[in-house]
Amino acid sequence: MMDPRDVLTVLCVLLGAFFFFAGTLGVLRFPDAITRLHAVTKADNLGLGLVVLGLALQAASLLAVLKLLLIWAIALLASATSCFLVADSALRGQGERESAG
Amino acid sequence: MTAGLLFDIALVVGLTIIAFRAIHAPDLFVGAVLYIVFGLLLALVWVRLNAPDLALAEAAIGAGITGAMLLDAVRQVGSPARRAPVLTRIGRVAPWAGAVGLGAVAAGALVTLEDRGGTLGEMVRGRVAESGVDHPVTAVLLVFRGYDTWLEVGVLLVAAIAVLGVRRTRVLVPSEPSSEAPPIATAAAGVLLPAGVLIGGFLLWTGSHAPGGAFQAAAVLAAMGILVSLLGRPPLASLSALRLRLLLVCGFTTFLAAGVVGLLVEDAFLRYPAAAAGWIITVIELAVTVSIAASLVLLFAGGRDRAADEAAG
Repeated sequence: MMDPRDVLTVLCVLLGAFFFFAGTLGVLRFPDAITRLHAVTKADNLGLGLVVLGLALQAASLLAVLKLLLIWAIALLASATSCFLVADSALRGQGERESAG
Repeated sequence: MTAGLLFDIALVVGLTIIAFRAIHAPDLFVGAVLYIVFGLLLALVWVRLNAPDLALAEAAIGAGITGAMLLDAVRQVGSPARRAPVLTRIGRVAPWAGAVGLGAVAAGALVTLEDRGGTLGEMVRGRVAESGVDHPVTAVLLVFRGYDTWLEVGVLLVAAIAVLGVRRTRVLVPSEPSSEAPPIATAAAGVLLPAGVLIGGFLLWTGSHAPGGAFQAAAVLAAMGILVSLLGRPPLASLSALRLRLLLVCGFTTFLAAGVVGLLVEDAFLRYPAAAAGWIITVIELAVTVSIAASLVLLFAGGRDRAADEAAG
């Protein structure tokens, strides 16, 4: 019988890996920048969040848990900001192309 | 074990493919992005080899800071479709011959490697207690092979001097305050900057007993400086010329001073007096961190102000 904590870790990391997989698939298959961003930010937010949650269950100390959460928080901030910047620049590029053509 | 082996094989194959694709990328932007991906995968290789210090340095400097410099350079030269370089037959064959030859020599050295009973790693672990720090990698970098690290800091200083020589003091002049910086990026930087400085400090402190140290800390601090300069506020611009130069040289000179102290007290360059070794190493690491961070930011900022250059004619 496995430790329920281990079971939860495996579940969380697997689910996180699923989001990374789906996000990667989305980046490869979706038609334009905006929908691709939608896919890739899901991997950053939910995928990394679930992996961090799974690892936090195995962490030896509260300090390690806090460090893992800090990594997730910084990734969230960076991902949300860069997503906005890329989307903004993509929309502008589109506008310029439309006005030019 | 098997899963680990599969992962390693996938890593090596992926690394080779990305290296090839980066060299043969259709345009410079794609090449630069692939180079960053290559650096991140290489960091994973160091993790697999149980070298977290190198993984940190590779991810922060190799992929992060060098990547930012490359992307910025691509932005400035534009991203023209790559022209097929005109090469003579020798020009085409020589790099391949060189790479294959070097690979053969390295493989030959690996195969004929003698087992001398005990690796360098074991030697270091056996004597790490004498060094004044607890982390073997820091002991090697700052004590056992301190000479190498001192000269590495010197190389970076020379690079910074070269940038200053080419750009004169132009990097010191603030560019036009950028109205371009989107508010959301400025707001995010407001949260990231203090966190980044804290993480840099943590990496420096943790280097005495765990993976981390001056180079990794400096890379994180430099990343914060690059972030600020991307938002249109060059971080070195508010410094006087003298202060900038002090920041740049303090690492090299502190290391040199510690070496001379060793020469006077212990009769050997860079041999620290046992009682004060821990303190001396901490001071060197602090000074080296400041200098490396300032040099990296200067290297990035030094390549940036083309617009200012053109305005100055």
